[in-house]
Amino acid sequence: MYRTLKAPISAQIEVTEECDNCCLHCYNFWRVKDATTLHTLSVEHIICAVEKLADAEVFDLTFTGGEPLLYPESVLAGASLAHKRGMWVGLNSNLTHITPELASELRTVGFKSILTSLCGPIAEIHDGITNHNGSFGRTVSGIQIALIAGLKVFVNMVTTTANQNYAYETGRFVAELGANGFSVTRATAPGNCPKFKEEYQVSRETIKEHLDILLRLENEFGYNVSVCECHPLCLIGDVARFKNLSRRGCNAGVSTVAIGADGGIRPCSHVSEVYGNILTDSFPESWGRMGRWRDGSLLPTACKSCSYFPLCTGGCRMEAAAKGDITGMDTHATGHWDVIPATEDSKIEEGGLAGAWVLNKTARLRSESFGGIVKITDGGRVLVNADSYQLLRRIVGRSPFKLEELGAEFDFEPSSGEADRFLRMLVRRGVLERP
Amino acid sequence: MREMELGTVSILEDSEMFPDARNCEENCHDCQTDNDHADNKC
Repeated sequence: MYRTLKAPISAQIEVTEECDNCCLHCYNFWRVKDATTLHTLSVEHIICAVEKLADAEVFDLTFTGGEPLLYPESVLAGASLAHKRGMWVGLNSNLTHITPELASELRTVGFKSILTSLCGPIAEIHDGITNHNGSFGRTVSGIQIALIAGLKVFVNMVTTTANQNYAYETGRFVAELGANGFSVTRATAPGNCPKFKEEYQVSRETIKEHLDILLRLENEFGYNVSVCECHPLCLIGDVARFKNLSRRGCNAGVSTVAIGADGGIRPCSHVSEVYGNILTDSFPESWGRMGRWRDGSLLPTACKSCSYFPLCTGGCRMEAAAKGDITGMDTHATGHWDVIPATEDSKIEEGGLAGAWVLNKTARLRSESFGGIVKITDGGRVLVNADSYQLLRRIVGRSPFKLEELGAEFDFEPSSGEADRFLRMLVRRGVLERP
Repeated sequence: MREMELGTVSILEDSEMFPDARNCEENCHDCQTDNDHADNKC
């Protein structure tokens, strides 16, 4: 079903299994382990992992946990190396341990943004969910420290029945803090907590209300809004209206991977299945073993035959697994009849292609059997065919050029149907930009 | 020299099985974000 890329596009490294919060919705499958058995990647181990991921030409690397900033030396060493090897680096942290000095060091080693979590707009709600008195104040202070240091901060609110009525207030509070974006994300049922669903899981109706609230917050405060996990399109409904909330699919084992604090290589942070150990095994071989995440065998029949599947990807497999069958429907999915597709009118009109262009300075290229991938930092990815990949490789670092000049040099007609469509797509995605 | 054929490739090997997905002209799945940061743009 899916192509097997030679490596994932992005990876998450779980620096440690330890966390000072104990959120009732946490998806970390090790959350029930004895605290004395929790793993942490040493500086040596994290260097080994980053080297292997960089050798495999993984584009983006997110440091997460547990709480990664419990071990700042590992995060700094790993990120510094990753940045030097040309990878984009991101950090997921509850920010309860950040200091001005550490924030400055994080910037120095290459971090530009942090994703953190707030469970509500006041301590009573947040601390009740994290099971950690004082965590709200520490996270809020951490957000302010990070922002002062010049890091972008995106705040995610994981929703359960415990905080489902506070999405707007939390978003407003986040805006007042000056954060760069806000997301509201349904909690995914932790695989090791069978009672989670009946006690805490939000309803389909509540999730749809939250999508409306996100649009309202975007209009009122002008920041970016998002959801941080895969939501099936039949849950989202109006794809055109929620365009920016509809584009996160399940990429587990297809284009992303998780590296555990014990070195275990897994398809996704939510998944406990291990396909190798990055500290001892070949990473490409371990990646190659994740075939069942690519061949469609884990997807429900109804989703595989749904015309919207390429845009949707069939929801979260761990949501289905929590109901007892990993090949079942996502808890909040219904079927294609609940999808209102985007129409032609919703497309963004393009400007002209005349004038000078350059290849985006942050564009990174990787060859693949079908051609290659171009990845824009802070942007999307584009899979291109062999001719397109050769063209992109040859314009890396080139002075401003006109498309008709490129056409004459590389023998294509920029205004012809396919070429014109392709070039407009490169402009829209930011692969080509004005000098 | 033959003319260059420029174009995208879908992450799906059998994307032609889903003609209704053409609403997103270059296949949205290929531009989906891969990390947890909301500043990614499609």
